[in-house]
Amino acid sequence: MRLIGPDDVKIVRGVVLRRDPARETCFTVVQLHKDLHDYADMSDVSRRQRLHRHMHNEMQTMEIAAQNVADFPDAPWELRMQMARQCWDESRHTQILYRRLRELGGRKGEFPVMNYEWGVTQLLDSLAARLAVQNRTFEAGEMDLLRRQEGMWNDAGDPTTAALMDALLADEVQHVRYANRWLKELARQNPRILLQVAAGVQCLRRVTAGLAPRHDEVNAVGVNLTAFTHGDVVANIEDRRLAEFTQDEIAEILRQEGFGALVSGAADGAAATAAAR
Amino acid sequence: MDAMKDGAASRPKYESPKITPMDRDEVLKAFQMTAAQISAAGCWWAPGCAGSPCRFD
Repeated sequence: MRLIGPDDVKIVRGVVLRRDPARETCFTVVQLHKDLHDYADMSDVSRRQRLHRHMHNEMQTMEIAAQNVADFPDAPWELRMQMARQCWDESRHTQILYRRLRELGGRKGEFPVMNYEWGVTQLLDSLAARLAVQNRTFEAGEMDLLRRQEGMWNDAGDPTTAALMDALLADEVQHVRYANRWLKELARQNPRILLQVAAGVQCLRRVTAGLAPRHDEVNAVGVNLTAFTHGDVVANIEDRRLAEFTQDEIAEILRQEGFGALVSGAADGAAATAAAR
Repeated sequence: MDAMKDGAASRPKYESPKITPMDRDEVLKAFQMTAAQISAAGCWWAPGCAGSPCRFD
């Protein structure tokens, strides 16, 4: 792939990120989470904002997969096919969410957007690192969240949007699974690939630390971004298994989420499942 | 010189770098991040959150 030069990057709060992709003029692109309109409830405007942001995230994911196809023409053909199929899935997700957004009275460009995933993944100059960060980390995390979203929209009295979340999740499992399979296969052929995986995840850790909101930082609609914890997030064990994370990997995620005592036998899948339930 | 010696004495003893051999599966296991860790940068995936932008209760 082409080397990433100084003109390809931007600096946000001292953190180097890839410059934003092109956007239609209807979109307002912002650089920090505090400039987004994340509401603290499930009001009508909040529902539209959630769908709008989700729609834009799917757009980014399509662009990331497409850029992988373009940047790594020498990747194995079957892997390139998987990435191309992912483009199709993500474009369909974008359309589905856009349609639902319009059904709820929203419009494209109604809220600010941010190209966070793009900014991180496009700094990485190896396909292994991009798959590790985008598919194996961002989209695996999305699997955890989509399962929650289904219940959240149902609880808010919107079973139609809840059903969409379930449908999207089915595709995301496949995106994580192909990355897991290929990273293992590529590492079997060339163990140096693992250094690229490690470098990718370390890059994400640095960016995450650098962009963490400051104490009592308030977003554009008055929500305090540090007045809550993220500790209640739990792994979606069932779908992580379908995506072919090993039992040890799932146990490690659970340990990081605070279930260490329950998964002390790292390979004990039964314990891991029990912790998640 | 004496001050330098005193300073050196108060520093922790030098420890040699350690190398931990890891196989493929151990590396893949170690280099993972949870959704909560990703969200520490803000509200990475706010549509998944209820209650407040990233609260899951």
